[in-house]
Amino acid sequence: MFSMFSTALLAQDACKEIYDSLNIVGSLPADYCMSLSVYLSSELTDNNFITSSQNPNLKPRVLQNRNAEPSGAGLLNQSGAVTSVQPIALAGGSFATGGTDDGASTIFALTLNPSIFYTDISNPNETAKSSRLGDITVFFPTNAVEENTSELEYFGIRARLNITGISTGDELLQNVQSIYSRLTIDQNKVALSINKLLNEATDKQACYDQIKNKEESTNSCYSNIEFPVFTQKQKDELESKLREARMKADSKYFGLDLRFDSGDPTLGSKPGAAGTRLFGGLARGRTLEDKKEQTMKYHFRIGVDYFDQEDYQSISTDTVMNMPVMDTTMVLGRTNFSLDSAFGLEFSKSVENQTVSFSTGLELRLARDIPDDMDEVFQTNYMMLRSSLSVPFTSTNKISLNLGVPVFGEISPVFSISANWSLLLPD
Amino acid sequence: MPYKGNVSKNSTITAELSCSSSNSGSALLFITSSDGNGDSKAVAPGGADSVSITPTESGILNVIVDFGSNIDSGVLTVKENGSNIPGSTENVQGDLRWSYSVN
Repeated sequence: MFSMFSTALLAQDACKEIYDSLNIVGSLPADYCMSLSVYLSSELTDNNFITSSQNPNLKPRVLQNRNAEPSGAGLLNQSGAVTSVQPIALAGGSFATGGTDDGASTIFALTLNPSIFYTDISNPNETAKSSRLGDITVFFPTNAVEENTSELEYFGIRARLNITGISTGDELLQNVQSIYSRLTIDQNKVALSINKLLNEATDKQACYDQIKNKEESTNSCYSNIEFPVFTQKQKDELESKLREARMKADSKYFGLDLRFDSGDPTLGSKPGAAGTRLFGGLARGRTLEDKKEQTMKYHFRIGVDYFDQEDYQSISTDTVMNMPVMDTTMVLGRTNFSLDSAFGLEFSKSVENQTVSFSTGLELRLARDIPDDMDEVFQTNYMMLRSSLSVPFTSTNKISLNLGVPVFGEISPVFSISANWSLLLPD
Repeated sequence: MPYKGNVSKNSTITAELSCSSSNSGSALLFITSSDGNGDSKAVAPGGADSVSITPTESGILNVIVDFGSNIDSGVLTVKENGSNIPGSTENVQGDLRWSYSVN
């Protein structure tokens, strides 16, 4: 017992001598060998693991949600079977072309996250929260300008507010902080291993020198340090953890989906289609399964659509010429409320931080008291099966193929190709 | 040198960062200890903030600063129970980590 005690005291004396030679100012350690071990671990880890992880790409771009995109439910640029309310991080746009019963059309959408005007976007802390809160999209068909008046015949605005945005941002930062905590714990394991080697070494100065100089001989103290899984594997794991932190933050959403449309979305091909449309709904999505970068997610939306139809001239058929002619009779516009709902599943696979996704779902809209043959004009009383395939061509740009087939109701099938892009946050 | 000295177990360690007003963006200031505890703050250009922790076990305490860019700078001060730790006040530039032994 006395022998063990005196050995420990001798070890402390030897460690103190080395520690003092370092001219480190500050309070004196109670355990010189452990403090010396921490010193050595901090020198070693600079080269072995901390340098790579000390700055683990904790920049806003790493925290950016890259799956959000400008998209309008029921429009040609709708990518995904059911649109989500996850906002775009900074700004972006989409360009879609496709065909319906009304003919071919092209639509542009531009999306802006208003937080860029009041948030320091170089600050990961603020960006992680604000970039996930909400955005505003303006969309219009390219052929929506009237030829004679230059007035915009149709346009729409969509606002998305993700209520879970703020809390997921906090969670994300907490995850990143836990990575730093883990690094400190791992560094402590190295220090404990060095401490053990120093205490067991008969020549403590020689052991210290071997570690300090990284001598890699068989009997060297340096060669016997038990490193946790550092090196390249550790770096890869850290990057994976950061990716995981971002995916976790974006794994769920709950929020408001608001939309205002003005004009005639059929651009004159259907009498009575012009009017003002307001939509207000709740949207919810959550990752159900997350295995080896393959995820399955559900999207759900429920809301109310209000349509205020403009007065219009009816069209009758000339029985002699067998062609439609403009009637002089003015038909008074009506107002109508529809119940809107959609449910879909999205399957995605991440490859090198880029996500390929396929989604499919059903969209339902129901209303009462719609005049005969006017369901299509009011865009209601239908169920549609929608499917979408999105393939990225850069980390924030993707192309989507979108198909919508009516299950019942007077709704046109739709096929479109859309290209989506979004700006990157600072790196 | 990343190793900055020794601090006592159960003492309150505070890291204060004052950022240069010409910095490109906010800096993140972290303090973590090997007992698993930590604290973090974002410090805007021209601003100052602090993080603190009370390590309850012997081991390591790290102060980490993640600047927006490598030319961003500031003044970092680490205190133990409110008193400056000798050698732990420096003008700093770029990302850094300071390690302390706790015992």
